[in-house]
Amino acid sequence: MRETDAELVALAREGDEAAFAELVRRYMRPAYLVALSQLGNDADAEDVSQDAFLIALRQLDTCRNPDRFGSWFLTIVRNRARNFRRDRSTREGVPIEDALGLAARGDTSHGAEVGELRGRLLEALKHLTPTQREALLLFDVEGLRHAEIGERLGISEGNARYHVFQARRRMRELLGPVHEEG
Amino acid sequence: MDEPRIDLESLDPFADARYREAVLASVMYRARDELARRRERARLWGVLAQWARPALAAAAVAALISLVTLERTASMDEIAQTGVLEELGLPDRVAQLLIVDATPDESDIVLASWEDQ
Repeated sequence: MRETDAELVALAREGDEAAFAELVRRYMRPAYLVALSQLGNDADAEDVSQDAFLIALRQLDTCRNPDRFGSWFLTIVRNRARNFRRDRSTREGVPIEDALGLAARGDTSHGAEVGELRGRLLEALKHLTPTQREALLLFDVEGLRHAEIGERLGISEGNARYHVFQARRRMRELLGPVHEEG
Repeated sequence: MDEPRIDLESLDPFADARYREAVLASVMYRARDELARRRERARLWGVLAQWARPALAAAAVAALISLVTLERTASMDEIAQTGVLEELGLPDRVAQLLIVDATPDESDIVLASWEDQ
């Protein structure tokens, strides 16, 4: 049976490694996407999202509603990303490609073509507002529903829907029809 | 209100299992000290919780002993005070006036001297 976030938080508070690892597995992608939406740079997003897990662990006792751990945690990611943007000198850690001993992501097994596509997407994302980027990435990559995105961004479901709509339209204008899916 | 979905899969490094495991390993490595600290804290709380009941019982016994001791000490003070007055051979009326720390009036003195005879 899949444990709830609240159960995992309770165990992690007592130092349970497996419980904390499960929280990391659940939230590593949304954390990265939120950081990416704030920073527009994948290496920085990696650092910030990983740092956010450590900050969250240290502050776990202040998470008043563990059922809503996701919202609480993504707020930490967002704040950390904003601070990071303000003070890039706080950056630490090694990009994951380096840890894996791989070259730049554009030349990994994804291939140069994927690297180019990735570059174009990242460039296009820079033309969106942070809220639009976050809503779009959480909707189209993480697969969250509008209501969930609204909860995590602190906005209404309708507003989240609007941001996704605007973000998609802007991206389509910037990228052209080649990136559209059915 | 709908716009066609844009393929953003190439922005998702977590599709690669090796990447996921590398991120997990990196975070868990950096979290090891904090997790160890939390385990130690939880262990100490567990020990304290085990002690809580016996400690409460011991505190109750100590409180009871203290109350009995205080009661007995107060009684001995009264006994000691009465004993001194008896040793002085004062009349009962004068002794009572001393105990309550009252100033005798003329009638008290007359009655006391009459009792003494």
